[in-house]
Amino acid sequence: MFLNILAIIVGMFLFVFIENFFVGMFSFQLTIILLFFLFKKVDWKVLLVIFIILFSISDVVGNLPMGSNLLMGGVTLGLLVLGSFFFSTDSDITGFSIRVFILSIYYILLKICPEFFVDGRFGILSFKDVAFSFLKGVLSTFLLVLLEYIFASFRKRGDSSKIRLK
Amino acid sequence: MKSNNKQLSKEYFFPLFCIFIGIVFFLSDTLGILNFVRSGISFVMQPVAYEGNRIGGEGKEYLETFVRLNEFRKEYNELSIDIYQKEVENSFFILLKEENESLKRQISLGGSNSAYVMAKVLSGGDYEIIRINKGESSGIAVGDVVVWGNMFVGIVTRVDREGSLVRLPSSNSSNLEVVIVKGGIEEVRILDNFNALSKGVVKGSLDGIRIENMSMEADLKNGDVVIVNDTKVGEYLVLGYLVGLSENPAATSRSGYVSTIVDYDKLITVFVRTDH
Repeated sequence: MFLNILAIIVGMFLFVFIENFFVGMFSFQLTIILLFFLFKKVDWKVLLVIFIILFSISDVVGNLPMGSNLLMGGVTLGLLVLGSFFFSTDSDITGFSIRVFILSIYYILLKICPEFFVDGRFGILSFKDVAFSFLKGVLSTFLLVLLEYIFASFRKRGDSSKIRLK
Repeated sequence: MKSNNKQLSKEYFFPLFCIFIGIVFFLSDTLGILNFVRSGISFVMQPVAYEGNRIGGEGKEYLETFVRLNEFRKEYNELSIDIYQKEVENSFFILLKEENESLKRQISLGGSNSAYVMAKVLSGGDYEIIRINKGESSGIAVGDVVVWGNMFVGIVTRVDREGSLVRLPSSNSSNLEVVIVKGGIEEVRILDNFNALSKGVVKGSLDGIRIENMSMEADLKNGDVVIVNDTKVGEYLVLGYLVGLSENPAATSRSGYVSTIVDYDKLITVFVRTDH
């Protein structure tokens, strides 16, 4: 029990460090990738607690009002869920394209919403910002696909230890 | 099946929960209710986030170097060209400065009753002769004395229309009568102010400018000034300093070498006295 709590605390510190490292280096958000990855894999109650904490930390270190990142993450995830009603969001080209599009929207929201949350007016969005958001969306999706692939390969290896009855 | 549907529907509501809790947090923070939470998170996580961001930023700058390599290369080429242009301009200004200094020296130290033609040294590196860029068309003739202020440089030996050859005192063919004096170089211009110690003769050689036939009785020392006092030159002009003075008491005269003040390799501007 104690070890679990310690592991969670250390994990959080590590995650915050790595997240900000990626933000500094590539202007990349790992939290949203983690959210997309864990959605439907982990119990939604646990997921909610984890991401309330992670998004709150992101808000405070980013000097934004608390709840800002949670709102943006929620809206983005909501778009993914809405998209899943009309398209297949599993591992195929359509699913990949949907995720690229939705993650691009997330990065656009990340560009314009913080100013709205702080000053009450949306930030300026140029064509260059949209292009970069699209690029970040593509990279984020690749990272997400990579994570899912690694997870899937672990699951398969895990299955190999099970006894199959013919 | 029913429980799966129930579970699925709750998962679909997950984004809505996020949005709802986000709005609650936002309003609470705006009202200042969550300040204590912010302080706690900031105290614990801000240093970690700052370090992560700082290291990420440094990594980004490092990567940018490769991305902007072409830009740096272009800038480097432009700066190189700029530097070359400035070096060329600088060389031109150095030449102008040298000419200005030579002129000032000539005006202050040269003979005020003589006529001079300013010339540029075209080639050096030869211990016997130098070429200058003025000739017959400028009024230069064979036998004209070449000076630099009140320093003796040489005597014109060949003249063409637009160039001349000047024999230096270090040339094998050079023979000049000199006097050795005590005193400073600046005082030589005024005849009364120097104290002649001895006469002598300077000859050019491979070893340098050799001075011979100096008086044994004279109180000569290394560092004394050697002045040209020859009918071919027609005035007193400084040659250099006495060095390598012989100390043989059995000899009938003393000898030594002359270390010239003018560095013939570095001469750029000279003056040719043209009043024959």
